[in-house]
Amino acid sequence: MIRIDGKTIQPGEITEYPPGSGENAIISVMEESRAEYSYNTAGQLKFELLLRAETVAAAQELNRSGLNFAVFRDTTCNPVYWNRTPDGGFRLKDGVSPSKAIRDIFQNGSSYGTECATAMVIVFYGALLHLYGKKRFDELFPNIFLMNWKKVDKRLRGIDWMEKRADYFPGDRRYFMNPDVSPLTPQWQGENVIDLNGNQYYGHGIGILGANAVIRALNANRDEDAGESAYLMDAAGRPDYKSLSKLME
Amino acid sequence: MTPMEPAASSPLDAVRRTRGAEACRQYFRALQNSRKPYALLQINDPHLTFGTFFLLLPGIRAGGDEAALSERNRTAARLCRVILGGKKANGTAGRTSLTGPVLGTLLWMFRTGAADDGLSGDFDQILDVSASILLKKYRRSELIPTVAQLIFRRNRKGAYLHDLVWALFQSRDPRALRSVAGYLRSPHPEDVRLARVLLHLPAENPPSGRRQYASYLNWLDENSSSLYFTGENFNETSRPGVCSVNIAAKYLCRRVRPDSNSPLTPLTEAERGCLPDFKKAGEKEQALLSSFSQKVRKKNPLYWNRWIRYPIRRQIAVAKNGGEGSV
Repeated sequence: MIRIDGKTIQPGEITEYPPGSGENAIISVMEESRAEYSYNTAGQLKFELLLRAETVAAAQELNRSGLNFAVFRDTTCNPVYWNRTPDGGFRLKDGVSPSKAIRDIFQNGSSYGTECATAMVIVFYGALLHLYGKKRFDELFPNIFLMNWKKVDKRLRGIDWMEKRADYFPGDRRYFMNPDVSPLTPQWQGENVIDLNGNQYYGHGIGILGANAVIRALNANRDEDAGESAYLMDAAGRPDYKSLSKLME
Repeated sequence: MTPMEPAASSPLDAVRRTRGAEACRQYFRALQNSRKPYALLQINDPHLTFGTFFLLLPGIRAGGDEAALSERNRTAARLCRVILGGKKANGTAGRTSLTGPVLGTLLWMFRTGAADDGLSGDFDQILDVSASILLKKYRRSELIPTVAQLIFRRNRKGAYLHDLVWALFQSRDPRALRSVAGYLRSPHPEDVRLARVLLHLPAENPPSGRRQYASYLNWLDENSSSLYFTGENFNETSRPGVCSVNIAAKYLCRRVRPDSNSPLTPLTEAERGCLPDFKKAGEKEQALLSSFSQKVRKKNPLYWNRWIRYPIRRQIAVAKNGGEGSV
């Protein structure tokens, strides 16, 4: 069920998005869900749909960027924009434009190497940059730190923890858990992914794959005497779309 | 040997400690070139620490001396290759079989190597994986305090620690929680902050570390028999809840396996019969029932046997009153 300003929206009432579009598919699921999707204004719903679409687009772009996979001890970044921290994170350099630094990761991916969780944070920054524009983005995020879910900016809070949801949508951050991972390859303890369309997922290091293929990749790095298969957790991480919508100029 | 103390050292260790890493490499290279049998005797010294061995390993390989290594050192060289080969995203190093007698070598690597943590990124990676194999596969829980000490030492230096934290909780041993809880009493605020994160304790307006320590240990004592490890980690979330309590098992006063959350022995028919009504109760009532059950069972097992057979509403009423007169 969708409610806007306390009023229940009837199925078919939102006609802005053409049938077959990603936005239309999300609205249909929300309308038919037993969960309540409540917004103060129609603009908040529109913002969420836009940001979800931008998140999917940013994930696809990052997948094409040539960004390397590296464990935290071997991470690499472009020193023009970022300082590498001792724990393998990237801290924005003083005096550097945050928007340029984020765009550089998408444009010069091969100058960077990191693990899958950090790539998720980069995807969300990339999506927000598209929506807010350079000027607003630079105002909002002058101190970016990129290292899995450590010190995630408070305005992005929600992407850094998992909660069971009534429905899952494109743009969600999901997690494939690998409970019997081999101790030799701790980086395969799980895969952070962006849900692209409910069937395909972008995971940094594995690319764009269906759920079964992600599970096969994780299972290939299990213990010799593993009993449990990797699986997609029934949970998702999401930013607070309503708060983020208020930050638009 | 107490945690993190270097082992009794060899002549090569002495060179490294007094003259530095580069001098030690040069000294060993010179020995390889001039007095190879003596060089091999030195590198195969049983008292050699893993840190010095790791530092000299490239030179050993370059000199073609790997085959002349002792069995322990050969195994260590192989493990280093396997562990560092596992770093690629598309590899299947996890499938590599740890064949042969590796336990003794891993123990040597970790015990004598921990004091050299920070030697290099690759060295630290090997320590992390060694700890994880020893705790997960070989259940060497006596290493838990050393692993915890290493985690908190890295935290103070701002070094990478997430894989080591993962290794610690892969032990699936409540002693890991107890070990971390000890750091709530640390005089270093960064230790206390990390301990709170690892134990999933509130960070907003927390009580003092000492009070939090006492209250955490009480909680651990009350719940240790029904506690299990979830597998949550820093790769998945910023706030991993590394363990959880099986509230139904606590209600039945049944011990669960901390690694799998399954009862140690199958439930009896009577126990299974108690569960449907318990599961229908609200979250707060379940917490009340399980806590009350645990306390009464310890204090008065005969009364507990009567109470657990009451209809659920009566159980709740009794628990709300703190028990009947006989408890």
